[in-house]
Amino acid sequence: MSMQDTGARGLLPRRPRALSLRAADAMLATGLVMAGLLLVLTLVFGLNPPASANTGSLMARFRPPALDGYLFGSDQLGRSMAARMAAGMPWSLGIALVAAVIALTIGTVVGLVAAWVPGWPRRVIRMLIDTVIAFPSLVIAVTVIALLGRGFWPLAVTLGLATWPIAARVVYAEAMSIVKREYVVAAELAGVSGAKILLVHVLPALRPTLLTMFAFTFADMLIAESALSFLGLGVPLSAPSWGNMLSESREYLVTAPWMMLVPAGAIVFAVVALNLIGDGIAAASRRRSGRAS
Amino acid sequence: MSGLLEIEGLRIGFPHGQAEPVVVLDGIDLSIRQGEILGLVGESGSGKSMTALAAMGLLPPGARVLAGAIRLDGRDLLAQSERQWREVRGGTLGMVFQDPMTGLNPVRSVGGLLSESIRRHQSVGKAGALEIAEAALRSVGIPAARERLAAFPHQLSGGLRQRVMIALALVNRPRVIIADEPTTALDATIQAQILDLLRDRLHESGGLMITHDLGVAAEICDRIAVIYHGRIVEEGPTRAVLADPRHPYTAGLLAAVPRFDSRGRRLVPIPGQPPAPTATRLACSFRPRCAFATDSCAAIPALAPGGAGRRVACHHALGREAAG
Amino acid sequence: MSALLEARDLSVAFDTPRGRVHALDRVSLSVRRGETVGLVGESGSGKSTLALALMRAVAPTGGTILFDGQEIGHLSRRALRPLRRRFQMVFQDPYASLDPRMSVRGIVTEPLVAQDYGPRARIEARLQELLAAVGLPPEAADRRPAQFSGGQRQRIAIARAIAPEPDMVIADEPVSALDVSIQAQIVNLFQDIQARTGIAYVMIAHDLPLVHQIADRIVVLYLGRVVEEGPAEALVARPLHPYTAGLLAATPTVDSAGRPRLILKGDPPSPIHRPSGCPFHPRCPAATDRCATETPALADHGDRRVACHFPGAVEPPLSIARPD
Repeated sequence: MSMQDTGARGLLPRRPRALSLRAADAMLATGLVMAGLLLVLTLVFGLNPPASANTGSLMARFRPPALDGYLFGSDQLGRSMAARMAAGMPWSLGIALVAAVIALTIGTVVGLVAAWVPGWPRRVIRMLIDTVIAFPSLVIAVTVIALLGRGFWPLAVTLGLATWPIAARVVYAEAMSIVKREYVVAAELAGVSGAKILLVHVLPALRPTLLTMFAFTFADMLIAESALSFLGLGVPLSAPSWGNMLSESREYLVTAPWMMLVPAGAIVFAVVALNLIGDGIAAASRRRSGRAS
Repeated sequence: MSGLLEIEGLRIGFPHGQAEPVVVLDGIDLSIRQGEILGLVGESGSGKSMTALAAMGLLPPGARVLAGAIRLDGRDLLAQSERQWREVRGGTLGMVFQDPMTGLNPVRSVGGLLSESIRRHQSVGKAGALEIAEAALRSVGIPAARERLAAFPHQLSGGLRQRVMIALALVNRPRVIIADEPTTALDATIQAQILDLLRDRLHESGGLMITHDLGVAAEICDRIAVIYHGRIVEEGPTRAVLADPRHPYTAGLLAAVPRFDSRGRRLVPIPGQPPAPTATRLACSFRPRCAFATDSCAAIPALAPGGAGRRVACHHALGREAAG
Repeated sequence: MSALLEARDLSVAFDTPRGRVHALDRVSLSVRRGETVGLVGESGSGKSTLALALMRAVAPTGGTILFDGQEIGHLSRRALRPLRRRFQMVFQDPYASLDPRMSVRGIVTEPLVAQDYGPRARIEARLQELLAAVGLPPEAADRRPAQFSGGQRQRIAIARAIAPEPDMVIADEPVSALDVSIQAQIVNLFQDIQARTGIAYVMIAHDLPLVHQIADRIVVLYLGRVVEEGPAEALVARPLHPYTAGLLAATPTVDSAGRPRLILKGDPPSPIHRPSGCPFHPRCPAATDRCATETPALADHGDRRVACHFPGAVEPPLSIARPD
């Protein structure tokens, strides 16, 4: 009895979808290469700084980008922009990463529970989600930061808490369609507990959605961190986060535009990389589910 | 033999660069005469729908005709341009699909769909086309035909939608109608209505009926061709084939299907499963599942005449003549 | 003898944007130990809803379900869990009902693990026993559903259903998604399992010959109501309800060509717009004024039940030869 013949049992051989297939892979690959480049750049500049990120030389103020050691130029205190960009990465990407993890973790748990429990508990959870989304996140951020003070963790936690309902809504919508699948119904009729069904059947089916959403949320959080820092609500001013660097560059926009271009470029670069990765994962998982059906 | 629709030695495959193409239809010979309904019966992946798609010029991307001919009224269809195909489809060649929801443009009203097709193939004005359309709806048993002209496909029940599709297939007085599983998506009582309609209307021209259901074929087809793994294994008059099957596969199908007189008896399944459509043919494709297989089955049997208008492709053909 | 499953006046209604849909309207049904009850009906008849309600996958809006004497119609999800071992389900589409990410071992042992069947070794032994019982090789355990054909997947689904040694399995169109040559394999498998274990089945199908083949009793549903119920042979040989007669006549079978025909007119009405009186009267060839106003109750008729003011008014259109 042959078991391998099933892939081709459909009536027609699968339509060639080479183009979209290659485009998706290319997106994912480009995103990963860009992210890798950013990491390499950081390591190079961070481990081997042309000049320290925090101690500048007043002799070297406002150096334009050049190949003489100030690859990305220097700032108003003569600090190397390249070194500051590298030093800022753990702050900016770190905060965004922690915020995205918090948002997705809470969002996934809440979304899954809402999709499983019918009746009033579901209505209460959905109301909670809508309420938090309706609340301006900036107001939440300002309030929390006023209470907790500035810093890495307050900012990361604040961003995560303001963002989880969006993740919850996406997870809820997706999980609602998954729990209606016959194999999930079959598991319930087999006597499997709700928690186990969510863990064993629903969560794995959500994985592509979660991966994609993680990439996009990460990017959004990076922008949000920069925006809050730009407004002076982010990390301490001494920290070279990309948002702080942007904020500082305002005064020198005309005389030293590279001070703005370097952090802005880093943010855009990282955001584009993350979006390409997210799109790539989404396309790949669509492809796989297309093949499975 | 001069048929209305003739398919001769049709071979269809999917070429893969330099390699040998993957063959899914391997020499199909069929002929439909005026006033006759031929049933092409097979399981999923047998090539029955591919045959229909080839005859309608609607092969899926990547599929190529490797050999053979399809003639409608003596005219070689395979030599046609896409433009000429559009003239034939809906004109001299009517088409009915399984799912009327995908076969009918959802944003056009029933009247719009019909009059568009009428005006493409006949020289009539707008008003004349609508009149023909209304008559066409009436001819397929749609009540309140005039009002239905304004309806959209999604506003109709499944049975009515299928009637509209049949009206669309008939409206330009086609020479041949190809119906691909036209009742599979319908409920039993609606299926009976549609089969009744198809029996009457397809006999006016010629019909090729694609189905997986021997019962459906028995209801309306004059002749039956059984297809297995891209080859016709048996062909002949419906009653003769069903009462006295010659090919072990046909006999196997008949023994496997429950009938009202089979209660209390155990069904006899065909062991194993059908080969993948893309599997290569090195021997008789039914050999691994056949109770009569011998060493001679290593050679692919040809579809040979067996008397009384029947043909069978088997080295060990069953039945009276073969046994006697 | 007390019934294993006894549904009384079971109703299920859904609220939709277009109004309240009464998918099931006071359905009563009983299943005895070890017997097979066939449920037939067309789309909109409520047969699938009935399966899900009996399985308590949906909550009934009215009526009671007694399983082995215990009322389960209104138990909570949590309270139902320990009882689920005793009634299991097989779905129509073996491509949708098996988690593509799980191994066959994970799928088949899932109900055993969930119900604390025993230590690991005992579950593994049971798994091997089940694979053998449904005709799959031991090494199938480590593969995923995608590596199997439709028929083999349905074997996996059946192994899962019978794993916890249930008293009853409800199967919703378990063979209609399979190829004809495979259907008989699965039908025989169901029968073999029943012969060995004495399990009771509720078999839902649109295919009357199939239900007639395997069921002891047949229940005919129309528009969410039971219209006729009785022993399979008697019901098919002499239908009392005109709808049953029409359904029988509409069933295409290989020996049906040329038989006298009774074709029911019209479509099954939507459950949203239920006709007054007898729900079947707009399509019934024997309907009178009384049928349009007065809903017939399901009344005993010997060992059968029928909901018709004029039972037996419509003669069966075909004589069914049964072997004696």
